[in-house]
Amino acid sequence: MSGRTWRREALGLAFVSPWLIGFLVFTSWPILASFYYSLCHFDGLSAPRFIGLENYRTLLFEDGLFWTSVWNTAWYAAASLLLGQALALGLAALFQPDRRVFRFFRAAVYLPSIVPIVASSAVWLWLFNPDLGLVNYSLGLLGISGPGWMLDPDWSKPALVIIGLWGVGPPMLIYLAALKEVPKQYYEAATIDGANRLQQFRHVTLPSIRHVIAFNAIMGLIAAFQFFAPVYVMTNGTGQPQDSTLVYTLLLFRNAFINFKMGYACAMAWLMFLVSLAAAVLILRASREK
Amino acid sequence: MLDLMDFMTRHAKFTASAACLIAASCVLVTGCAREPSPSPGPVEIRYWTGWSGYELRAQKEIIAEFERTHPHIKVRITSVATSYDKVRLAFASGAPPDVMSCVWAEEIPIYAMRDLLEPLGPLLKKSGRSIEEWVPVTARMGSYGGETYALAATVNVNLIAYNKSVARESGLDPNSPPQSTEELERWHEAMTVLEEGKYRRVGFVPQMLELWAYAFGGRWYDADTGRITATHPGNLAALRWMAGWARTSNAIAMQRFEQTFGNMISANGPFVTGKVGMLGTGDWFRGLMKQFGEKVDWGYVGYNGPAEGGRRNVAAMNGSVFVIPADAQHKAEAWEFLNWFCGPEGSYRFCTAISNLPALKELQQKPPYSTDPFLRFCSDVSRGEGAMAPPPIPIWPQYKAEITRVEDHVVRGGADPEKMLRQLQERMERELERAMEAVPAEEVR
Repeated sequence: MSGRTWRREALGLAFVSPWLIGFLVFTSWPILASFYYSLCHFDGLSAPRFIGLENYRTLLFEDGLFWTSVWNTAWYAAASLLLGQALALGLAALFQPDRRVFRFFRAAVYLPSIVPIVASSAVWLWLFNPDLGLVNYSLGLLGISGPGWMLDPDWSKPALVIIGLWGVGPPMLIYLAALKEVPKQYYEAATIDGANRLQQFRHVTLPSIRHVIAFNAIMGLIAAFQFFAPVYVMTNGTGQPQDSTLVYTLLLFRNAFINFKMGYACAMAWLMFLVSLAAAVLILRASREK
Repeated sequence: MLDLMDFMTRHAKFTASAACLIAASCVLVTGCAREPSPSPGPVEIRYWTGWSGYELRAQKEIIAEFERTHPHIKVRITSVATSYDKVRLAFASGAPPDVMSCVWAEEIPIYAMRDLLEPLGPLLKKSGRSIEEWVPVTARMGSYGGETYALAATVNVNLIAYNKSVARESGLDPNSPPQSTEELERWHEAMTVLEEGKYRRVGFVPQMLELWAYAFGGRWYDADTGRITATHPGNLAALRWMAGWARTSNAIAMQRFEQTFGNMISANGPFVTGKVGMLGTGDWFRGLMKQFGEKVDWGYVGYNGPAEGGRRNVAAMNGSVFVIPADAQHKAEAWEFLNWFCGPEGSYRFCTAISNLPALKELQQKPPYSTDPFLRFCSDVSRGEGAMAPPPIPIWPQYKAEITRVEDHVVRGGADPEKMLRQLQERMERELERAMEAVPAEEVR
């Protein structure tokens, strides 16, 4: 590198240094430190004490609540991912034609994702009210006696999935963009070959947008693993009824900020990171297969 | 270098912006550092409070009076009511404020065992005062390992409020409220109206196992032996009683009924509208009723256990207390302020301003606390044997959350009370052992 080029590089680095320093000090360092803390007994107040893999051992082999939270999160992630992606793709396909009415619906579907989560969670709590809520009222019009939703351990997770589906706007927009990118010639060729709409969707649309599906699936999975605010607001941080809404992040939060077990919570965070990473790799590999 | 000068000259605006950004970053970074060295004039102490709204306004007025009478001290007050997590960050950072009233009493052992709080015993002695001046339960709330770390300005007690009109309608004598769990059940049955499987009115829904266990003679920790006592027969009896109540009254249906009203204490809440006959609450209830239900004819009674073997007028004490962090910069001035605020003068002004009960014995013997029947009752509860301080263990916040979890599983989930308490015992024994091992004396900051 010549002196002149080096100086230009240095100048560039100097100009981005506020961000760079911020990233290194406030993002990279805490991430690395959290791994070290996961190997320590650390309460956030006194000096961390190295204990090796003890936190991981306790989590995996002693803590029953950990597995309860894993089950709840897996349940939620699977349901919200499948239903969420199907709904987002379905709505994108439905609103794809560039008509004024569809432009309105695209905006309407996207709107909930910009509503503050705490406010929307409080609204959902009322919507799911067993006796006065609009959800059970609507079911009642169809002659169905609605469940207890957030009061019933069998129905609390489905309620959370429905809440999650409300934020289907962003993936729908991404699918919309992807659908517009599929070359029209493919559909023309498929039509000439006699393929109907469903066959075109199955054999033309889906393979053409599989990378976008993978991207949305990974983002959806990460969002599902990190699902926290609505549960915290709706159950007051308890995970009730009967631990049925005790999702992974809620347990992590409780360990870190109520139980003063910051090292233990860091171990939980790293386990979640590893599982998220593995899932992302699997999804990416699956999307590459022909 | 010429290149750089040339670049800066040609892109003057961009260079200036970048320089400003870098300078701002530097200011931010240095802004996180400690306070600059003191300048002549009054010493400014930083005071964090957990109160907000009208209570914060009252504090500000009282602090103005303190500053007037103590011109050498200036108090900078900050409310952290919506972000209590800052309290822990402040302790962890080593740069906490000088005085805090935003630490929960149940967290005192957590901070005290790590030497993060200034012991107040020697300061009390030096000022010619004694912890004996405070109601015993509040003195216990602020102590750990025999040392005082926190003082209380106010004290809260639990009580059951009942709607007198509902009692009359139900054929009950509103002037003889239930003095035992047996009577409470009788009142509940008389007040409850069930039509076609749906509640139209509910008498009472017992909640808060932590508190009811005390009423049944139970306890959660034995300070003498240093052992967790989750399986105490009193705790088990209370949990069985709550489970039995849930079975006979259909806990889920009652919960559904209650939820239809949203906030329990509001102008259209179930108590004000007479849909719930009795409600577990505390001394703050009168203030709320002045706000939301001035026309409601209501009475109050303590949490009473079974007629045989139960405790009377129990209360699970907690609340914000005043502390001086060990790393405070102006400890002498901080103590002067704390001593004044939690002393007779500050405490009396604050308690009368926000209709709270003072924690000082001498104030409880003064009007209106000695003359007003409601306040006198609350005062008696706070000084009675049923007033329970949080167990002095560093895992109590977690333990308490686990007790609520057990209650949920047994009362609404139908789990076996004995098994759940046994599991709680084992789990909390392990947690306590770990917590006590966690901070060996030599590693304390």
